[in-house]
Amino acid sequence: MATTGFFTDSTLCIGCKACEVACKEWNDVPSDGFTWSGKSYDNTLALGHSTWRHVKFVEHETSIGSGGNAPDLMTWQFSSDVCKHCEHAGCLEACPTGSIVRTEFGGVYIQPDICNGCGYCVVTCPFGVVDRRPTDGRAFKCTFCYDRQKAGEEPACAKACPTGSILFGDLEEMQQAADARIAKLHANGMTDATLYDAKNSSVGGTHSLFLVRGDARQYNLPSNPIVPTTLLAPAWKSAAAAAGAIALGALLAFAFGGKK
Amino acid sequence: MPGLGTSLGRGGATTAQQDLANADAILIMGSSMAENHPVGFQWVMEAREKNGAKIIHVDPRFTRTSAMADYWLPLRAGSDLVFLGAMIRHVLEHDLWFREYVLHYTNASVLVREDFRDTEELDGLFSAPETWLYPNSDAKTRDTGHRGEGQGTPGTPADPPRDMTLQNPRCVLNVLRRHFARYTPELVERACGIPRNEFLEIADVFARASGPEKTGAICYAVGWTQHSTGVQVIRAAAILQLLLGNIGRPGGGIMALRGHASIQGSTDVPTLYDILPGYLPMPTSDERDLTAYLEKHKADKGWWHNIDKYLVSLLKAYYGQSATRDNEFGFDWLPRLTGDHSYFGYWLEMMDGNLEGLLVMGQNPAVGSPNAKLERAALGKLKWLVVRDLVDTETSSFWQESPDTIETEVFFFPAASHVEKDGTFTNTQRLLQWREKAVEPPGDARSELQFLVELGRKLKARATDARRDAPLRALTWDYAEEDADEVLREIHGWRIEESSRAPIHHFGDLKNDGTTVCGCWIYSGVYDGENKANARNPQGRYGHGWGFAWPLDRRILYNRASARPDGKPWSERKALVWWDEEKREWVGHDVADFTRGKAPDYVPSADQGGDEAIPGNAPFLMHPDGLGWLWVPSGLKDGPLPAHYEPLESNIRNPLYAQQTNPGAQKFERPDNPYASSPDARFPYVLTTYRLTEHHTAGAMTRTLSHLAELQPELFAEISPRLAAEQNVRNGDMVTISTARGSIRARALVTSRMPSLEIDGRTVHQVGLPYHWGNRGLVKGDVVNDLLAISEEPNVKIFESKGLTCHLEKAP
Amino acid sequence: MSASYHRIPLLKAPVWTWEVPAYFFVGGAAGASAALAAIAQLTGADEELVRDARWIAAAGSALSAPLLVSDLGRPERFLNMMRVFKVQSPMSVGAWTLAAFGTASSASAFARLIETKTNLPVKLVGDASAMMAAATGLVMATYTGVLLGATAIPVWREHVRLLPIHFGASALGSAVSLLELRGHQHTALHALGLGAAIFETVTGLTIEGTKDRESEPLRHGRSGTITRIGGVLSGPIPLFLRLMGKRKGAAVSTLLGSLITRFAWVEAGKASTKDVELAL
Ligand SMILES: Nc1nc2c(c(=O)[nH]1)N[C@H]1C(S)=C(S)[C@@H](COP(=O)(O)OP(=O)(O)OC[C@H]3O[C@@H](n4cnc5c(=O)[nH]c(N)nc54)[C@H](O)[C@@H]3O)O[C@H]1N2
Ligand SMILES: Nc1nc2c(c(=O)[nH]1)N[C@H]1C(S)=C(S)[C@@H](COP(=O)(O)OP(=O)(O)OC[C@H]3O[C@@H](n4cnc5c(=O)[nH]c(N)nc54)[C@H](O)[C@@H]3O)O[C@H]1N2
Ligand code: SF4
Ligand code: SF4
Ligand code: SF4
Ligand code: SF4
Ligand code: SF4
Ligand SMILES: [Mo]
Repeated sequence: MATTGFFTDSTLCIGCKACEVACKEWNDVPSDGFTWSGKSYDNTLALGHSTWRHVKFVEHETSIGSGGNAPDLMTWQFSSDVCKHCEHAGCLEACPTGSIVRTEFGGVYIQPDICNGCGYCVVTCPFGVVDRRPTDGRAFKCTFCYDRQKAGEEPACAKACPTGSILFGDLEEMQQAADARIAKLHANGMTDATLYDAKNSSVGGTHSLFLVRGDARQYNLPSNPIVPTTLLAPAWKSAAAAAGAIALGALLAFAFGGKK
Repeated sequence: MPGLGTSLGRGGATTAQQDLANADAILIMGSSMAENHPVGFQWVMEAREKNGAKIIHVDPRFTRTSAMADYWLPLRAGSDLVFLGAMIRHVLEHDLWFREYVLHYTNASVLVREDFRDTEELDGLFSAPETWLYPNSDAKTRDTGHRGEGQGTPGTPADPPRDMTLQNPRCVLNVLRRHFARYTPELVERACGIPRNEFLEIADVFARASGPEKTGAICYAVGWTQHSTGVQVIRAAAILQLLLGNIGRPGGGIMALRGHASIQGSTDVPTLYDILPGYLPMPTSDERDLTAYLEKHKADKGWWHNIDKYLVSLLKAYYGQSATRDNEFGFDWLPRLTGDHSYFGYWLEMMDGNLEGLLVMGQNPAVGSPNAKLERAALGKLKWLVVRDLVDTETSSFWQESPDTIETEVFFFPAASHVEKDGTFTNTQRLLQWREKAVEPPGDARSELQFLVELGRKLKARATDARRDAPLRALTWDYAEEDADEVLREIHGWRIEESSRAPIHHFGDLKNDGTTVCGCWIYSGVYDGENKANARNPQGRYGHGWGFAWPLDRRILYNRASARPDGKPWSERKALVWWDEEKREWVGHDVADFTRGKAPDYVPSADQGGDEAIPGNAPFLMHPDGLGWLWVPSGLKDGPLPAHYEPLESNIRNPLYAQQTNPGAQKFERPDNPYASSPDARFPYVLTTYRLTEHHTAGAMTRTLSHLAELQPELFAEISPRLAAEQNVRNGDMVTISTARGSIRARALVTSRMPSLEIDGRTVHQVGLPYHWGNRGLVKGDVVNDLLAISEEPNVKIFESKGLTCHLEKAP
Repeated sequence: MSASYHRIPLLKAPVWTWEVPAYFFVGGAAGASAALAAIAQLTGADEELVRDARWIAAAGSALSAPLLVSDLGRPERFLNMMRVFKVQSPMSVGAWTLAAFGTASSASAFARLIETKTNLPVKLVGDASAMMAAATGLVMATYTGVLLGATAIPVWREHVRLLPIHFGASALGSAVSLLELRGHQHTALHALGLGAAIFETVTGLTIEGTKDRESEPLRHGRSGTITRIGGVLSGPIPLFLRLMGKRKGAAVSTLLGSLITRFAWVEAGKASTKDVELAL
């Protein structure tokens, strides 16, 4: 089965949120609450247990004459965020029940019938994607539309996107499309377009690629995500040292501490 | 849509959204297409990405559409005509117009009457309407107001005097030059707040993306129409596109982006008071009989020569066997117009207690209509109110505001939604698409069709022998319970043969002798053998084979203009339809919007009538002269050319004329519909209203759904950082916005996307309000339309929702 | 304006409630206790001490399971933890360890009981279980540091090396304190208590001395206050009391400090996710 991926291109995104809504419709995701944020047009604010696709609105000063496609000025950028489906996925590694698995499409999938809501994936995702739903007790995030992919359908979010901002397909093709797009934008003078794929981090690349303008951190895309598994070696070394010290200390104390 | 109707011949978008992908420049103005037509917007994106087309958005706000555009210009709400006038002037002054196209395909060369006086001479007024007519019009053809979506103006002579050298100072082109001479870039700066250099750059970008090798398109929606000058704004766009040679050509045209899913359909088969299906004028009280009616509306030349066939076929559809030659096919049974019975008038009548009952089907005026406060109060003056809707709306629950005093008896009928019934939508580009019922409606919900069939049966059963019930008795009403297919067949029509129905292909087969039946002639062709609205096999550039576009599946109107007068394409790149000498017919990517076998060199003789009177090089076949009308001799109430007037409420003096506002507009000023004066120190800011992608119009369909409601959960006012500073308001604060009608509360969203403008040395602050909230649903908010006034543009009677005056301050 | 998305934190806050830090405390103390029991037995310390240490371990393990289970979003699915064993998941390692530890520590405690009440030959089983409990107990005492450290939470991640030792020392201190409160006066306990207090004092000082942004939740705000209280109760106060010879007082302080310290770290983790820039 081919490894699939997303290529989400913010220069083509009109911020319509169809992806966000389609995801909720298809997956029957409940409401996220009705609070107005005052943060541009974004009132759902982040990915979470009840938002698996999320459209970000990054706002800068406008300038008369320039539209958002002006190559030299960033004004209002939209970017549709989603689980990164990491090559080395913190959540998957950390899940104690084996609920989180890698599917035949390369996606990272939480099996809802297995998750027991331990919450450990929540603290081991370096992208703040997965969360436990208080009203349900289990952890939720993008399923990569495993059900649809199995049926040969593209994910609901990609299907709903009217502008082709969300491309879905063979991961390698997505990478090529992303490279080609970057090259084209750069040739057009939009030199601030960059590809975010976390390739050069311990995450080892993502199956959701994002093309954004400017500093990726404005879109809450971390510059150096660390997959927590890289910390296991030093952590266990320390634990071993601590255990050794306790044992040795106790041995010495009891050995030399007399009977009473 | 008389702006397009009078200019070009038909009241509909001239193009298809798919065709925008072929444009070299797209001007989006008076629309936030990415937000309100997001699916169609993909073709704008395609043009941008594939052709490098320049996308220009002119809007008071930097919207999601601006975010996709190459250029964005903010303007003062209500100043669009200055901008467009200046575009026209720019094109004329710098000789950027498409000479050959203009000369042959428009009425630029026609001479106007000597006694015509322009707004330049009369300080904002035109001389009397008869002076707008072509000089050789005779008395008989003096119908200056073709009603409704008026496009035909059949009385206009086909052979007006012309000066093909364009030297005569009275020829339209030169009248145009003089008329727009003062619409300069400096004026744009002073009236719109757009720096002149920015304007010039954009004017040039758009104008230079036209010509034989290139085309530019214009997209607009209610940001242009909902003004007291709305129709003339569209007229200005039509003039610009005709001058640039952009009509009827691929990637050109005017994309009128329409509203509700089938709002185009509801003007084609109208829910309007002044037209019958297919834009046939509703008879007035002085059009006593069919002869008098045809006398006025049947054109000698051009397509409207056929009006009798269409009307008689319609009457046969209405009255069946009761419609005979002897009783003029029941013409007498049609209601007559005695005056302005448009929408807003009857709300005022209702308010004054002159209306007994109201049937509201699929509308939510308590939120969606201007001066909604008045409208809610008016509902309380009714004896009974019937609301058919998907949910209990603010309209059906209006009485809850004071249940003890309101005596209106309210009936609520749950309605089946679009997925719960079969039928067609006619979309923004005249495309009929069949929709299958996906699920059964819940509970007692029923379709409109079922309801109306049943209502008709009940009414007929109650018909008495009284004379006033004669139309009801004559009305054919043998519909099945709920069969939309049957209705579509009737709309398409048939020929009466003995006692059976013989098939027809399209409206070309209709007769005026009572032997044919047709429910709406422009749709005829949709059921040629099979339900073409249900075709699902798109082929070629325009997706023929998917749905059915009226007329006759033509996707780009007036596409004869995509070829030169001699029938060859203007250029290879912009070929659309062309004359095939061998086949002796028009061929190409689209169905020719022209008589298929009429050669380009065809010249009619003087005594020929109807379509035969249209020469082979005249693409605007609905007009008697076959030309695109830069100058509209008849059909409009406010003038043959667009002129800028200030909105009905404005703190700015009309910089052009002493005449401040559109002289034809109706204000209905009264204590419950008051206006601010112009200027008015109490209301220093400009107010405009609009939509959000996340909600739909009056909100009953979106505020009730959590997936949508959570995306925009509260009413907010977009204001600039400077206005916020002036009023000491911070982002997120509650503010009060007030107009002469009332005041509401909203959150402040402080953003540089809503810039304050420099106009004539003054800073003009604008306040923007989306209007989707009411007091029901998952998310609630004040009704923005409580701030608006009931007013009427002269031609289509639309209200002014964009560009009024207000005050804004921090809420106590 | 630094680069971030509307200053909305990227990371999700830990969803754990009080049960988890409580479990860290109880499980740690029990684990260290099991280790003490075994070593005491090996070195021939008095019977009661061994017996009590085994009982503390067993009781602690018995308390641990419900604490852990009740914090799950789906407690009825606790057993899903036993579907797989994943070395790369500290939570999985911990769950299995707890299971083993629970079995072993109870076995060792009950074996002792059976041995004294009957003549059944269970000593070997008891001693083997005790060894097993000691081994797994040492993991119990330290793995929770791994569990926190090997995450994306900046303050935890930053102290990934410290945490297992810190928690281990704290667990040891608690185990010692519990035994002392049971009335055991063994000097070894005192020595270990002193050692733990010294280590915790140094740890406290180190934390106070950190300048990095990651450690800020340990020094500032609510979590900083809790950390400080936990630190003082675990380090300087018991150290001082022990030097003054007030072993019971020191024990009480140590236990409180150890418990509060675990809460402090979980709180600090939550606070850490609120730092907008750190995760970016
Ligand atoms: N998501 C969504 N889609 C919709 C609808 C909806 O409610 N929600 N409604 C449907 C309906 S019924 C309709 S009619 C269409 C309407 O579609 P649009 O006309 O695009 O709708 P609006 O948002 O009302 O107005 C468009 C733009 O006009 C700008 N504007 C305001 N005043 C002026 C002005 O004076 N001059 C100019 N040039 N621009 C001005 C506003 O800032 C706004 O960006 O959309 C349809 N599509
Ligand atoms: N301030 C301001 N006011 C405006 C505008 C603006 O731009 N600014 N725009 C104006 C425009 S363009 C429009 S179109 C109006 C819209 O104003 P309205 O038409 O009053 O508002 P809608 O919410 O579209 O109302 C449609 C109703 O039909 C119901 N409905 C949907 N499907 C069906 C069906 O199949 N059968 C039945 N029976 N009911 C159905 C929906 O639930 C909804 O309540 O608002 C106008 N008002
Ligand atoms: S982004 Fe987070 S939730 Fe998604 S796969 Fe990576 S670690 Fe798991
Ligand atoms: S909450 Fe569920 S998915 Fe997440 S780590 Fe625990 S068991 Fe796995
Ligand atoms: S892939 Fe499916 S689950 Fe994931 S965001 Fe898209 S629609 Fe939602
Ligand atoms: S559906 Fe596509 S265009 Fe719309 S917000 Fe999502 S990514 Fe952007
Ligand atoms: S709601 Fe329907 S009509 Fe409107 S943009 Fe979407 S698909 Fe088109
Ligand atoms: Mo509309």
